[in-house]
Amino acid sequence: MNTSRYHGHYVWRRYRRNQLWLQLKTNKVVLVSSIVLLLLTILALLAPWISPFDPTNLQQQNIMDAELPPFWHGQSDSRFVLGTDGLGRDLLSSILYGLRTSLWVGFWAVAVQFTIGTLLGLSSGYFGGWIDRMVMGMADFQLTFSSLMLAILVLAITQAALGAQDYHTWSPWLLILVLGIADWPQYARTVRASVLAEKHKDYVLAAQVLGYRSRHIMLSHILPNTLSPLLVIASLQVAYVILAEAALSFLGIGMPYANPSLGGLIGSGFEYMLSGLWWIALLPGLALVLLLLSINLIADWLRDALDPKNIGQRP
Amino acid sequence: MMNHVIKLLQRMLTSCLVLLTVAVVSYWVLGLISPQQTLHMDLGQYLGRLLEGDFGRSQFYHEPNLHVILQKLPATFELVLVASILVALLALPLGFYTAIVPQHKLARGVMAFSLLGISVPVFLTGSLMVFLFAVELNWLPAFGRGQVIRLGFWDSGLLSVSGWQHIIMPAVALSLAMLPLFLRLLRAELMQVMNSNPVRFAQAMGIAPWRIWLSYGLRNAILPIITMASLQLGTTMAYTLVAESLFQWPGVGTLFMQAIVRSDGSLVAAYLILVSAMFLLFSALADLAYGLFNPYLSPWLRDQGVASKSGLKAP
Repeated sequence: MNTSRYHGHYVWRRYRRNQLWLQLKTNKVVLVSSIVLLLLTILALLAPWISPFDPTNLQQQNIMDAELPPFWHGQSDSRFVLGTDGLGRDLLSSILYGLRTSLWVGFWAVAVQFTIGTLLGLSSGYFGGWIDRMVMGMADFQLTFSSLMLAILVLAITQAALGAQDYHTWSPWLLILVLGIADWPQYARTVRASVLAEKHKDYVLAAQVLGYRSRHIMLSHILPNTLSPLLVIASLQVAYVILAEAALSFLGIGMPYANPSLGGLIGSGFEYMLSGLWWIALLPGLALVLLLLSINLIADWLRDALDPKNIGQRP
Repeated sequence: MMNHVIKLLQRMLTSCLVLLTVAVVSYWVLGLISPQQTLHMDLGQYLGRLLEGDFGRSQFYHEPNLHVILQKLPATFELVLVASILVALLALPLGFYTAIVPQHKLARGVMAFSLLGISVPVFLTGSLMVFLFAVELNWLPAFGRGQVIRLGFWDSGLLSVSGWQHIIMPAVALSLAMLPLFLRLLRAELMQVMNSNPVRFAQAMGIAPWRIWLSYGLRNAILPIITMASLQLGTTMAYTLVAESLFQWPGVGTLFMQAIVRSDGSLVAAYLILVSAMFLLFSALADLAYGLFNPYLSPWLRDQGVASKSGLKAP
């Protein structure tokens, strides 16, 4: 019998007993934010097909179309529903592509964090000793020196060293790498705490007696039982990484200008705001807030819903 | 007492090691950004000069780096100071209010607002404020620091009307970004304390509510707040950098971003070292404050049996 499948069932049964779905149905705020997040994700995934223009295509840009207002404004142009930015790019298309960028960075950076943090935390808790001391010492230091500050320093210095042109061909990958590597300690600490609580339980001892390898015990036996808190951290981190990416792009050291991102759009729109053209910065800002708020609301709710103290409680 | 001395020595040793690592990294950074500067100077010479307090000369300002950075430090310090005072003034009453009547409509509104606050990045709040108060209403200046008055080596913007007009928007934007984090933590801590047995006992004894809030609630919430504040040090630095760059505030953050754009490697390297030193200093101060308020750690309280098993202090 495949042990990992057995554990998978076990975990799933526990989530079902948690009445996650029932709680979701009765909690209006979370239901609405889930729908909003789902919609934004679908829009972002379909961006290349549904957006009226391709913001990365210079041929579709015309400086004559620059600074057009959104549709509710008298002087708007029917081709550009949400108006255009200072270079004549369609704002709606840029926002859709920007959402795509944000979610893409958020997903991959969190995937990197999750992997690094979980592996380090598992080994730290399972093996103990000097591995544990070293990993936790690094985690303490990294946790105090925030990942955003680290990302600002690393990315800014890389940009200065490579020059803006070269830097921007690599920056999307560098961004994911830095944000992914910089924020592992939360996962590691949580996993380690769970491992310490689990590793002397009978099922782990049984697996050890049966002669399973450490790697197998850690990944297939212990990890499924530490998933709930990890899920909460990961969902909060998605929002944080998206925020960090926006801040970095706003500072001009994140996504390249040709590749629309919400933070970059806000940054370039800010210059036009001083002459009263508010939509170039604030409409992408609105999309960013909508995205972050829905993720934060869901994460907040997940934390309460997956809390063992609340298991079996009606919402 | 001996324990404390060993702890202190240990801490100083780690700090020195961290600073040494940062110095080596900054030599490497210097070589990356301005290779000609490291041609005639090897790592040993560089470290030797650092020990003598010589941080090199800025290629752009043609002045010693230390001098350039120290000149910009007051602006950053005053911005962080005003923002921190605002956060404290808002977080304390709101934290108490939302912890004492958590089910009240207004308290729920405050918490919902704090979730919104986490989802709105500092540069978006700032942009919105610039648009409203500087462009549309024309009440406040959009950027700069205004008139500064020289007090010895310290350029203060807090002594002139124009200085205050300039600091309002950046400080409010920065504090709105930091407020939700502190508010949520303070509320969680206070609610935990308010539900503990000593507080129930005090309530049964008929002690006035405000005395319970202050001498049980606040006193026991101080430790987690200090921990939180020290954990948020890096994030505060990052947010300050973003706010400075948005409002063109002439502080160290703006200086760093300009040095990056100008490829001023010498200044970037000096910035790295000085910022790390400041960071270590502040986290040491936070630890010191933690020891001061923690009955388990302070030697002069331990013998008096003040610290009870529950970790709560009697008033």
